[in-house]
Amino acid sequence: MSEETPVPATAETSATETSASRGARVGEFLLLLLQLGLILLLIRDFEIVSPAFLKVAVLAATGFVISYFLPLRHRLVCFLLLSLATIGLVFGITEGAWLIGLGLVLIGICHLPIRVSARAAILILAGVVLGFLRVDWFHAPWSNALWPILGSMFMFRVMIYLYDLSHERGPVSLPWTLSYFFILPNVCFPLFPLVDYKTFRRTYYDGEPHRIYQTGLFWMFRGITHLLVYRLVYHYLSLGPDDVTNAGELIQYFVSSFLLILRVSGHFHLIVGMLHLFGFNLPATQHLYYLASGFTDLWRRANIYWKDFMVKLFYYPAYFAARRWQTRNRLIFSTFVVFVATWLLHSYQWFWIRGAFLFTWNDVVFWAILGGLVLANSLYETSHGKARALKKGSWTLRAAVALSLRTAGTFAVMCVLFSLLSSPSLTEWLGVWSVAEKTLPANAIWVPALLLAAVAIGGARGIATLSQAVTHDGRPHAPQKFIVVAGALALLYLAWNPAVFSSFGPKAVGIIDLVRKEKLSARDEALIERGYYENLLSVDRFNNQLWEKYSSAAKPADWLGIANTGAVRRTDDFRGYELAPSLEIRFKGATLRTNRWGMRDKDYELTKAPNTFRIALLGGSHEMGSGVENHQTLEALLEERLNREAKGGSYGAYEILNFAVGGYRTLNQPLVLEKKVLPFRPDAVFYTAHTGDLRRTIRQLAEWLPRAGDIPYPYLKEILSKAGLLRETPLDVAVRRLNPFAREVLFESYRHIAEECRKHGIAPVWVLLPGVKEGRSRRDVTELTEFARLAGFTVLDITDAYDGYGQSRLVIAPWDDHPNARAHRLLAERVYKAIKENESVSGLLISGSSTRR
Amino acid sequence: MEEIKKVVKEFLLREFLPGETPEELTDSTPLITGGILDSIATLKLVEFLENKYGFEFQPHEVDAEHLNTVLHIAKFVRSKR
Repeated sequence: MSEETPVPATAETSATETSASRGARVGEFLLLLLQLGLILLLIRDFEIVSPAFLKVAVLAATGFVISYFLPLRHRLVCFLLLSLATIGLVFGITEGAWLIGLGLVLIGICHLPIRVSARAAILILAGVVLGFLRVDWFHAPWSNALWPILGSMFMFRVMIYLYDLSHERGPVSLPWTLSYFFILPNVCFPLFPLVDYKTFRRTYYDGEPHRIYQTGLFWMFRGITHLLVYRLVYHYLSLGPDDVTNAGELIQYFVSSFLLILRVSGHFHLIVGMLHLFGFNLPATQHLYYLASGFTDLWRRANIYWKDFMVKLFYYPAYFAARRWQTRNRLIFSTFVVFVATWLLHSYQWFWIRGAFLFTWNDVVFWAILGGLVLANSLYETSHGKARALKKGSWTLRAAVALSLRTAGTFAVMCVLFSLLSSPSLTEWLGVWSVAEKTLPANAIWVPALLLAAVAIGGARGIATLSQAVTHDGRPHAPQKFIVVAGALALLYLAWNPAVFSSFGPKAVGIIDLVRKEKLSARDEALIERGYYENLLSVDRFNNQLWEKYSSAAKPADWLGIANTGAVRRTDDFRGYELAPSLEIRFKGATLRTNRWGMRDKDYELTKAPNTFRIALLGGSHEMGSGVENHQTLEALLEERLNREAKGGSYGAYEILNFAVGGYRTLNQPLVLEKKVLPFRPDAVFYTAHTGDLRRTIRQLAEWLPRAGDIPYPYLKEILSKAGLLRETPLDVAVRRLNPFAREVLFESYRHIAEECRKHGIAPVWVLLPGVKEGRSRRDVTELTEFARLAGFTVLDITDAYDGYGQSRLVIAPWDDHPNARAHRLLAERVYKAIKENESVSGLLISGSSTRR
Repeated sequence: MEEIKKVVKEFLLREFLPGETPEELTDSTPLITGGILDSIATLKLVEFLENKYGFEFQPHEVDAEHLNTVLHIAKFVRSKR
């Protein structure tokens, strides 16, 4: 391997530079800095990737400025030092030293003075030993957080490195080797683009530096936009297999499955863009993959680095190994090898990142079908040729239409295939097809619109392709500075002034609010299996220790749900447990104290004092006040406010009794009402709801299935019977079959509660609360509100209570989305305002109309 | 060298760029990074070069370093002969 570092003439400042060109260079540098600053603000304000990534990005930006002024010969060492510093920054000294030490051992094996095959054998052996440690057969002295990153740095790169090492001659360059393996910003990304070692070296400052930096900034911006669009897709389009109940939702499920890989391309663009800031003029990792016009085209666009890795290590070696065969058979053989290897190596990658091998039938079927399609396409191209051009092609309507149709067709097939890959199991995926015969609902108007859009985009691509010169290398040119600056400023303006969209209605404000959030949970996140890539990208879902490193905070070992603490006692009904009376414990960083009735509240008499208005609050962990003190809960603050400001009207005092218990959901509440609330004879019940309740309620009912015979409510038994469920029906199947009944379950539960309240002279009030990191889908809000009204509740919608506040300022901890004291204060203020604004409720509470004293 | 370049250009224009103006294909036109040669086309070129010049490629030699431009190809062929 050559010691020589490529040094293009353009990379160093010429000694004969004129003052005018120096001025231009300074101007260009300042413009680069402006763009970089804007990108850092975007990363911060849109919570891109993780808090750790923001730190690494700031460090990288500082490193960029230093590197910019260094002589070229020192820049690689500067990059290496920065890369090592990011490891220390994220993992700390001890863990960072383990990571680097283990890496050095693996690199050392690559350089043992023995035959390459022997080195490969020792590497495999080292891999097996590490594998045993990975699955905890032996205890490793380093943290579990290290594995995904160690795996990401070495699982594939060591193969490429050894391959290149075995075919090159010359001395080894330590800075190149270390920079390649410990490459910045890998420490923040378990799923990292598979950079080729030769390309890594070959492209280093292989062009004019300012142009390389500019390309990098543009790609970083593009990566951020991919991630923001991904958030929109996630919130507004994504469905789990359980959600699919009609043909429209089936198509939505297919399309959203494919669109979710925007997150991968977003991360990859950010990463490779950042590498450009240090002179690595690497090629694009993805290129307009949604506009692929065939399966070979898609294979070449979707993950270009992976494709190159496969071609280098598997496709060509297999092809050349079968020299004596006919060309067609060699092609079939080498393609087969590539797709078998891709399948196996995806499982291998899963192992190092997640800690277990992945083997699912839908995975096998996905790669088999995709391999078959790519092969068929390759054979067709071999026999029929493929259109290529050196300059602008002549545009014809026929060519554009053909390209559009091919693009739309490829897109449609890939949507279906990605839904297969994303599905939790082949059975579940096959199950979703059962709804295909059902007609499209009226609200599925966007489906044909989407197909038309696909054809239109295909047409646009046709025009673009046919009018494009072949020398185009996928890199943006002149307008990129303008796009980065204007785009970033526009996004930041929206982030800082979300109300700017208020004239377009609350939905528009909601969109901006959702896009700003780093953690996504429009649907109940824990219930959605979103496929291979989502599961490798969501570190918070598979490696708490690593997520803690990324979140800059460590979750204490005793940070448990209330049901797993000593604060509860078991019940023999469907509530399962309740808060134990008269206790005090530390719970999620705060003191949780219960009264003699088992409420997280101060003490009350069973019978209220005369001239007192009593409210019973029903809810779950948010309303119970997980992670805040007793006096900081929504209930305590609202009670205090009512007594401070409303007292003296019709009532001398207000009491709010907190019957909320962590983990309670919709179906628990009728029992709470019956067993706990009624004896206290409240004047009103405040039933709290959240936008994800439809899904959560169905899940809860499915979980009750094994004890279906004992369910105390006939309407629930009837629904289970209508859904054709048996006690032994698997949970996922039960959830899917119950989904069409979700609205009925929720509505009947509401009606039951409202009727029980009215039967006992209690005013039922339904309060829709926001979740700190939960989506606020307008559809959900409208639907739930309507159910509550029809069921007989008076409705208070306070889902806008957190508007204008960044989510990170409202949660009790980076790893726990429960509202903190500030959020409870916002909720209490908003509920009080809603009470005042709602004539019916204010009449009830303040004027004292239509209730007993 | 010039002869090799001429032969390679003729092959590229005939096989992959029919109808294109020969002058548009220069010695430095990027073939792999520019998207003219994908993996299948590259193998066709390799097969042509092996047959024409009587040497065998090794798998690791099939890359942009050796085949990205007509000039690269000509240099590589010359080094193998």
